[in-house]
Amino acid sequence: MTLSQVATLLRGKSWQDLTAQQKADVREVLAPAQGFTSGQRAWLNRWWLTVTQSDVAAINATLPASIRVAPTTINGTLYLGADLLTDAQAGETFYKARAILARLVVAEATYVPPASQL
Amino acid sequence: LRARQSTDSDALGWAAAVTTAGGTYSGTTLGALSTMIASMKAAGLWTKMACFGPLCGNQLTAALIQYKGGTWAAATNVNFVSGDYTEATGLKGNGTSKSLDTGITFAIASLATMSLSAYAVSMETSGGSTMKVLLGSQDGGDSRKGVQLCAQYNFGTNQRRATYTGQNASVAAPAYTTALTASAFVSAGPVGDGTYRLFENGVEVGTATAAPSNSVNALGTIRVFAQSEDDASTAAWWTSAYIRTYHIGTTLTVAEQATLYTITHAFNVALGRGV
Repeated sequence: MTLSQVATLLRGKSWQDLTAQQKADVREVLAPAQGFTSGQRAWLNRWWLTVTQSDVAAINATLPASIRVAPTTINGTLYLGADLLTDAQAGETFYKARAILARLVVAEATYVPPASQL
Repeated sequence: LRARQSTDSDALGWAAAVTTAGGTYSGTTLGALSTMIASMKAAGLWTKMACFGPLCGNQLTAALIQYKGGTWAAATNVNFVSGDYTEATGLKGNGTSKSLDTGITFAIASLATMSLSAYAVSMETSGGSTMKVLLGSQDGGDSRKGVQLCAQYNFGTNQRRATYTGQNASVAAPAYTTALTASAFVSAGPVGDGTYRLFENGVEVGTATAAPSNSVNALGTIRVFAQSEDDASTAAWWTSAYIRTYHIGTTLTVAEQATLYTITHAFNVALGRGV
């Protein structure tokens, strides 16, 4: 499977919509070896999980105090990075939030930073 | 016979905190950290550190352990995942959502004396009119007030820029340079003579003469890879740079800024990630 195929597979779906084989395939493509590759980073910067403030609060309620998620607003919609799914298996950073992360719908969006102030 | 070099007690404190958090480290890393801390102590810098993040160890869990207020504990990870870190590269921002919250409040480090630094790689040096912050916190009620150390700022031309509390474009220019380098140890702060200055690799590249003031509204805790906006719950102006070490100190002199570069660079070279 390629990153392009992962995009086709995930668009408009949540993690829990995938079969076990599809999840394994996606994990293989997105898993960092020695950190993410530049190709993985470029892909992950474009793919997001659609959330509400309620989802964010629920995720943070499951996590230790030293780990938080915070949404980014793009065109009025709140998102968390889809890369959270790469760190949500047993023993990983966002494992305790896996059930909530698994039901969030994946979407493509491009963050455009505002102009500098002053 | 060669005397066995002892490990610095504060480096051992880091190691214990890493282990408690569930992380691991190599003997090489512990040795390099020990040497760095011992060098900082010998130079009189250690007691000037309100916060210090070596961003080392075998995984993200270890890298998050920072020194603050005399103890080692994890900085708050906001959106970073394991794939964002290797010891060989440091921790990488994404320019859109990821930051560390140091928890540094202004009861610990006064704004008027605060020095900020980051050993950073692949900083933004172009790319339009946006600001990219390495460390900072900004007054949400007045965008010109706060502390910022920027990888890039655009004010007519690309600049690397440091602003401090009360600093304001209508009062005096902040310390800045227009000769941006992508990878460098960037530091800034008051130097004890009423000025504050911006340095790259220990060499002064910008000076501002107006003394900072403390006339700000609410400020959040200092973030790394972004800045807090008004309060600690939000961040903005994220950088996509790699950061390999960061410091928040108090009133480092010009000579101490250069020494901190030398020590920090040696640490990163020892880890095979010097620039």
